[in-house]
Amino acid sequence: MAYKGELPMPKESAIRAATLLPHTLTARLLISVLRYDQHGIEAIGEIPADHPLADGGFAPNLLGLELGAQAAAAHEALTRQHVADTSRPKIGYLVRARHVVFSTHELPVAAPFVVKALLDGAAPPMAMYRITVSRNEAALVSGEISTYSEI
Amino acid sequence: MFPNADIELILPRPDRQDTWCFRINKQSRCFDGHFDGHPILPGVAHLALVLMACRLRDAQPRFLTEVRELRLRKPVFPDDEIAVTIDGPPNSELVRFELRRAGELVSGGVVGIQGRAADA
Repeated sequence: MAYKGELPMPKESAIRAATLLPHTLTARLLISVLRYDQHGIEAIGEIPADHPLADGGFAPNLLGLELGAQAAAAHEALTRQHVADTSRPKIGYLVRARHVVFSTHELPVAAPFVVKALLDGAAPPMAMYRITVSRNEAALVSGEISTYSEI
Repeated sequence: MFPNADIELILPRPDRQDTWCFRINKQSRCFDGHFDGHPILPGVAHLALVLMACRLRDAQPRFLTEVRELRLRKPVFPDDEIAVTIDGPPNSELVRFELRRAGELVSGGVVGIQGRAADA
């Protein structure tokens, strides 16, 4: 994912997801943004060991979908920063998912994942992304999501 | 299934063998941080309810293999009672589902599921 230079985006080595998302406590799975441009985002995420859906050191694979959704939300927040002054993270909603495939039944907690969300199209406040969640370069979750963001 | 989520099975529906009712208790940690001052059940937790219903139907743990379609239409709030209807024969690998609150559709879709016995 190359820096296209079409928008005045700073080259950040890592952006903390806490500054971008309204999620807190165990709800926030995204940790930091590695890189982004107008086409998409690559980030690091992790499922907390005390997540409410986790048990015995593992969490259901459906949380991979949540990781992807949060990456998409972070991308929305970052690209919005260039068109409007936002004083607080806006709430975004996952409204649709389709063609999502899981290659594993469970995901480990307290372990880093690489999360990518590539923008497929947008008609604000709606946006569509293709997401992948990987660990050790193996794709564990992939699919398409649609999001709705507060104005 | 999901012992830390504080999702209560209210009662199985005697009139409908394909529907199970759950209460998402106000103190459920599913609402922690999602969002502060404006608690809403995370969209992916709708799928957790589907898995819980499948577990009750099939009497064994079930895992998602795919989400062919998920449409989230309405938010779910603390203390909401959600009726989960799953359509498909027992132990089927493809399940169509609907989640309703007081008859109102809050989400629906189609998922692929698998039992742990089939896990290689």
